Amino acid sequence: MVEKITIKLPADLLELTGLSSKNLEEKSLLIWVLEIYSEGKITLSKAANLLNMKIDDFLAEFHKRHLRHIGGPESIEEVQKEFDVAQKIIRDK
Amino acid sequence: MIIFDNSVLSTFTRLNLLSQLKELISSAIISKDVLEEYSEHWQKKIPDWIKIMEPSKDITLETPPVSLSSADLSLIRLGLQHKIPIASDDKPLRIFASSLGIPITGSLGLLKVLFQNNIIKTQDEYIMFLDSLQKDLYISVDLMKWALEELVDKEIIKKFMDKYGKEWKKLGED
Repeated sequence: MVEKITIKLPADLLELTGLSSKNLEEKSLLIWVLEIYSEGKITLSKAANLLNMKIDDFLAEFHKRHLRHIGGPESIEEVQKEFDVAQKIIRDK
Repeated sequence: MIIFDNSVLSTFTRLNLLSQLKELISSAIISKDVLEEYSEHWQKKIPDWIKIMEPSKDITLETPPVSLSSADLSLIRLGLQHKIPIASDDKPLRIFASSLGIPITGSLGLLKVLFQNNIIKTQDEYIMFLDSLQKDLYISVDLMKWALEELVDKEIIKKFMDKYGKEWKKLGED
């Protein structure tokens, strides 16, 4: 069982957006998870798991917001290394 | 042989490049946990040459990072068991796998290899795939320059740069 915390949000936003408390909880979690995934703090699989979503459904939510995902190589050295690994796989095939 | 995680598998499925990838690497592995994380519709898109395997129960991991899921950990265990690289665009998985000595590759490296080996045939196609890859993965100017230089005509690079405006102009000035 995942431990839950309580946060305070302006109640009038519920009326404005037409969301119920339950929907707001789900939407807040979705936005939070999308953000930490885009920052590269959790994996795609972990993000989908946290939301009880299928990977493809999570990616649809991610793509429709045009977010950027930081997750791959960060330097020329790192990308060259991943390129060399890919080349080696071909040579060893 | 190679292990795909969800990130690379999703990207290459979306780009419709899995069959081209097969020409290069012949076989690949995912775990059952990874497969089950997709909807049935997506599961049908995964071709036969990508085998579903379960890691040995003998391979255990001490204190894995909370940023990884059980499916991610199943891939790490497969990597340790078969001593083969993992393709991932997820930083936490890449870092943890590297710390255990598992070689890592990713979508950008694989895409460049596909073009360099003439499996992606034209520069325009390659540019289109690089452009589309950015939906799944942030690619800095330096990394894009690495992906393009020596492989793509300056004129085509310029057209690409123009599309992306100021940030991309730096690429041509270097």
